[in-house]
Parts: sequence; structure tokens; C-alpha cells
Amino acid sequence: MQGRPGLVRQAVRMLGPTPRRTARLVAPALILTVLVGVVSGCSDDPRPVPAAESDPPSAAAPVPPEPTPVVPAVRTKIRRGEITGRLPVKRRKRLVKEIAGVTDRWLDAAYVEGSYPRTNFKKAFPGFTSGATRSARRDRTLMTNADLGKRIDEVRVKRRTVTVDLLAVGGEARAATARVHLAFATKGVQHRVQVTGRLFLTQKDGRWRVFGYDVSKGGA
Amino acid sequence: MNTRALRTLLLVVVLALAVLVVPDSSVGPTDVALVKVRHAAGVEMQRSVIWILAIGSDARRGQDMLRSRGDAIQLVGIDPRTGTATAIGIPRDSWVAIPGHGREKINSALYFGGPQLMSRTVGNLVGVRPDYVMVTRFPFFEDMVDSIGGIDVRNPRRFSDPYLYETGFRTGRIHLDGYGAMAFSRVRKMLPGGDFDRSANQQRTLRGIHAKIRANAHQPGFMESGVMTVLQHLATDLPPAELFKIAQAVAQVEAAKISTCVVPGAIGRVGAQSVVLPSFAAARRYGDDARNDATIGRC
Repeated sequence: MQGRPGLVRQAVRMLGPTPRRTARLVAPALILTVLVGVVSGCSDDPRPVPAAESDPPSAAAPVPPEPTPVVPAVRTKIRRGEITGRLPVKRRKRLVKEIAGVTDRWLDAAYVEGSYPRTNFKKAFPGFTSGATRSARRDRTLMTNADLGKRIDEVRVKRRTVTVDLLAVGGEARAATARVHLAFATKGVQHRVQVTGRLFLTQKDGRWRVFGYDVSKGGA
Repeated sequence: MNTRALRTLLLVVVLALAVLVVPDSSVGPTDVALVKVRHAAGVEMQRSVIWILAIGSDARRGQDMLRSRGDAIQLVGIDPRTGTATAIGIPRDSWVAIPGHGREKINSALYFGGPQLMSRTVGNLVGVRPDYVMVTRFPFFEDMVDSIGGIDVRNPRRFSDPYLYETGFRTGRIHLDGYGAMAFSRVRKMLPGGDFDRSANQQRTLRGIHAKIRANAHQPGFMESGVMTVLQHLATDLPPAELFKIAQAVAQVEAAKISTCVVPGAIGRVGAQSVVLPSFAAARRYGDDARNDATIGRC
């Protein structure tokens, strides 16, 4: 199916990092770095300092690169949504996790992971049926980062949640809807992007597969 | 205020805004982009267009619904790739050939041979063989409409029925509960076009149901509980997962991409029976037109 731009339109002001915003982002990293240093300095550990470290750096010595603050990866918040029909509680938990896992793999492959700048999104739909994959490839500017990929250097996830609704008949889960919310910021060309919508899943050969989707993508 | 004063005021406002908006640091200006939220939807089905023969049975309680007479007969095509759909209405009294039973009213095909024979008969008329046949009886249809909070339809003319709906249906956009939707779809005698107008009203009801489904599809659990209700109310041997797929395909259809036509014909008599003599050419043309894309350009 062709993407249907214009169905939902919304003017959104996308903000790049103002100095104050940048400061807000850098400040926690700096504080963490300083704290780590302070804690190390206060240690009682009588660890001998290696000679090379104790010597004053000579002019010829290579300058070590600045440590890059490590931004912890945002983990997916998995929630159980509506359960229609009877399903044992234990199985609910397992199914919700399993279906959220399928959804999560798509979010990673389509938006989050990969080496940016990125132009290859051929493998962006793990867990999709062949028909849904064909359809999603036609909608790749929404269903992946294909519209931004070559202009950005990094994707930094701000929020990701997956809520799973289940349909159970005869004590077995037969179909599911995964409601998705992914918010991320990009570096290079700076954008804030939100992906929201639903994936529809049924089981095929004992595995949950995405057979359809209804997804929106836009500025945060 | 004269033009000059207005221009001056405008300039002052623009300058004032510029002072507020332009950053005072030496860092590059804030990026501002106007973007649109884009939307994509798709549902995989085994065929590009799925055809569902929807039948409202006149079976009373205790009667076998699959061996009754169909009161409402609509052949619905959905193209999940494009979000288009069409409904071809077939007047209940259409006089057609029923395989193995000679010429009869089309609605008796269900009575003679169940959904399979009904499917063949409609397929022979329109030239499109349904992939699915769904049969429901009116009390359950009413429950289903009630379970989604009723529907809105556009009624082109005022009409009433002393037996089914005495107060009548006013012209314009009207809200119908389950019973109202049933009556709106069944009244025939008070309509100037009789069976043809009734079939068109059934299509208005289908549009109303579709609009309600589409408007609520995003609500958590709505589609799942809808499928559960359908499983309880419809005669179907479809697995729940298949039904869920069809329901999602229905929800992806866009209202603006729905086309509906009723097979035209003449009123005639066969023996003591009043029948509809359908236009086979028109029925075939609708089928040919919609076969690959679920769209009828012109009725």
C-alpha cells in the first residue's frame, strides 16, 4: 500500500539544540564524570600508581582522547494491555514478552540500530510476514528511518514503550495488537521524531508474525 | 485604521517578535522545520482483493440460519493495499439461475444449499466468487450494532413502517441503535424503489458500521472484543486469527474510498410471485470493474 500522506497533518515545530538544551544534556554527563573522578580520588585503595602515570606528561607524549560520556540505552517499557478472552496469567506474561520482543526487533532494525549515516533498510522488518514486508517497504519512509538515514549520524532513543493487547479463544492466544511509541532524537541533522501506532500479529508456524500495521511518524 | 498605520503596526509587531525569537548567542539559529505527521497502513491478506458475501438471514429463533432465506445480500470487496472497498447490493428477489435448482429468487440459494450454493449463485451473477460468506440473523446484528454504540447513517428520504418502525426515519444524518439499524435495513414496502432502495439502505448501514469501526479501531482491545462478539454471533468456520485479519483489513478502509452500487433491474411477475429481473450486464460490469481494485467507477 502506498503511504497516504496528508491523512493526518500537523504542523510541528522541531527544535534543534539551543545552548541551554545542550547544556542540559551535557551537564548530567559532566556531573557523572566528576563524581566518578571524586569517588576514585577518595578511594582508600592503596593502588600503586604506575610510573608512566606519575610522570608529568612530556610535550611529545600523545594526548589521550577525551572520554565520551556513555549514554545508557533506553530500555523498552513493556505493558500488558487489554486481554479479550480467557488466558492463564502465566501465559499472558510470556506472550506479552514474546510479542513485545517481535515489535522491539522491528524498532531496532528500522529506526534505532544500524550504522548511521545509513541508506540500507532492506532488513528493517524482522518478524513481518512476506506480504507485510512488501507493504512496509513501499511505506519505508515511515516504517523505517529511510527518510532521514543518510543525513544523520546517530539515533538517541528518548522513550520506547510497547503495549500488547491479546485476543484469546479457547484458552489460546490467537491474535495480538502491539501498540508502539518510540521517541528519538537524531544527531547530524537534528530532529526529534515520534513513531506511534499499532502492529497486528498472528501466529504462523508457532511464531508471532506481523501481518499488518497502522503507524504514524512525525516530529516530536 | 488607514493602510499606512496598519503597515506600521505590522512592522512593529514583526520587529517585536524578531527580538523575542532571534537568539542572542553566537550559536547558529535554532532550526525550525515544518513537518507533517505521516501515516502508513497495510494489512497482508492472501489475495489482493478479498470478497465477502454478507448475508442477513431472516431465520427466526430455533431455525437453522444457514438453511434460511437471505434478506440482505451484499457482496463486499476490500483491497487492503489501497484501503478501498466496494459493496455490490443484490436485491433479495432477484430472479436468477440457481445451480441444480433452476430459476428461483436468489435468496433461496441459501435455503437450498447453504453458504456454498449462495456463493456460487452470486458468483455466477456478478462474475466474482466470494472468498468468504458471512451469515448473521437480525437479532444478533442488532446486538452487534448496539455493542459499538450505534451507528450514524445519511438517510436521503423520510420513510417509516407501521410494523417495523412506526416513528419513521427522518431525512439527513441520523443515529441508529441496533433495532433502528435493523429496521432501516429491512423496510422495503414504504420505499419508492422497493427492493433496490432497501439494498441501498443496507449499504448505508454498512458504511455506518465501517465508520464506527474505523473511528474506534485505535482503542485498546476494541478490535479484539469486536472479533470476539462476531465469533459469538456469526456462523463462521473461520479461525479467529483469520477473522482478526479481515477485521483489521476492514478498519484500514478509508470512508472516501468506498463505492457502492445496487444491481439494477425491472420488477416482474413469475406466476404469483413478484420478482426482480436483474440486469445481468450491469451485475457483470460491476464485478469486472471491481475485481482487481475493489472500486466501481460508476453505477
